[in-house]
Amino acid sequence: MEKRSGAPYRADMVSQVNQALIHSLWKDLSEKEFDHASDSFKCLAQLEESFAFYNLGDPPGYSIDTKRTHANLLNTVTPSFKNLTEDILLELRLNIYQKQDDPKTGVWTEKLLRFSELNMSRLKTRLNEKIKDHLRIRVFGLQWACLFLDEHFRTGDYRFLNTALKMQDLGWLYSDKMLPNEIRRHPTHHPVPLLQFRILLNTAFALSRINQRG
Amino acid sequence: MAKPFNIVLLAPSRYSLITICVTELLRRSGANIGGIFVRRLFNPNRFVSEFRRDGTRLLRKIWKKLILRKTAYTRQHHETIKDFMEKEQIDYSHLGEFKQRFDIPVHYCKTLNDTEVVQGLKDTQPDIVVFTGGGLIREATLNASGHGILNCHMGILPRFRGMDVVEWPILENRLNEIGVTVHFMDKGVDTGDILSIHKIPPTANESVAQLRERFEPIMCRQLVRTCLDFLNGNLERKPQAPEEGKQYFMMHPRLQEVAKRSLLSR
Repeated sequence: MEKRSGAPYRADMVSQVNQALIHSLWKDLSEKEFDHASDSFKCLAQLEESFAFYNLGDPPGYSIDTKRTHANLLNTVTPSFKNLTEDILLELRLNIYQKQDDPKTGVWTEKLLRFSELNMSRLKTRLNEKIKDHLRIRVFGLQWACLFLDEHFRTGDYRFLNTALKMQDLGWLYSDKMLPNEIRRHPTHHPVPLLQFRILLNTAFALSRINQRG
Repeated sequence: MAKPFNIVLLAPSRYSLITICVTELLRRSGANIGGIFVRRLFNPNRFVSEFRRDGTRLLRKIWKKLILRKTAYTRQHHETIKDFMEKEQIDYSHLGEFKQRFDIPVHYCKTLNDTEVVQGLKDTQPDIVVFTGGGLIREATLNASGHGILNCHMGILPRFRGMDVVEWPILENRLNEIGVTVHFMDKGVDTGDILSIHKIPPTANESVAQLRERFEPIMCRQLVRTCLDFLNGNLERKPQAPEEGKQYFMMHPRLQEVAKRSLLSR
């Protein structure tokens, strides 16, 4: 026995709104000077497909630091929320970008999926136990949502898109309404608006792909 | 003459139409209904934990299942549980009537894992327990349930474990993997031994809501048939391997809408 239901949602209308928003946000973002080489969060890495889909021009070029992935953090700790760090989140994302067929990536993302689903309403509290700084909590949560979207593209598993959508409903974490202000507020590029832009772009792209599938 | 099977039921509320139907069909089959354990409705902890999990869906569920009940179902081309009850002449309005009419013990409890429930099961010594909803079941309850606790899951196991498993196969374009599975409950989420699988392919122009309504009478029949077949020795338990399936969680409204449109646009 189980439960369900759902609220009405106009996907076609929202995807048009998203398209206009994406173009306007990218215009604001691309007007700023940005040294992608120094972006340790790889905020806009591996976005070729979604940039092409929305005609945003060439995406920022990133060189993935292979030395970092060779540190192989994933093999040294057991997959769990307790052991999750910013470095592990980044390494998981880099593994996906480098198309490394590492079974550990799947084990980690499955564990994190389950944890975030079971703890969605108290995710901020759980992160607060781990990281005390408000801004770092937000960057951590946004990276986590980015990882789920990346994993959705890697595996085609809609459960990861589903959880990333739920994370976007967490007001403290993500707000596409506030995003234009957040971009303008920071004189230089900051991971919070950049990661939110990544989430907005990849979510819109993922939903468009499902709608096109028919 | 063989001794009748002793069967206990676990119910999510006294107004559960599925529990009423399953209990009555089992009773008519000649089984001895050793008792019905029913979760109390007015329990703030239950409301909070279910609201945390289901969000506003819970309010719609309460409206449909506890307030509207049978009147929530309108006349459809498919058979609803209301039609099923009329056809089978099942006219109970709540589970308490089983006590009034047949002196079947009906116990109200806070959760189905209360010590009173576990003790009640030990005293009743059922051959089998049939779960018709009411939350997670802990090991103590499982261990006091004879052959075990049977559940009818609204998805095809082992592939689709967890929640919203009517919508997930639609989203994944696996329309031939929609149906119900009767299985034994264990400590995991829908990971217990499988007894029977019944596929329910969607019909033309059928909406997700209609499909779900169509599931309910099928689930009642399938649960009763499988339970009796197993007790009569006609069915074998088929264990699941954990890696065979995936656990699904509640579907986000955006993806639900995609699944709904996808089903209607076939």
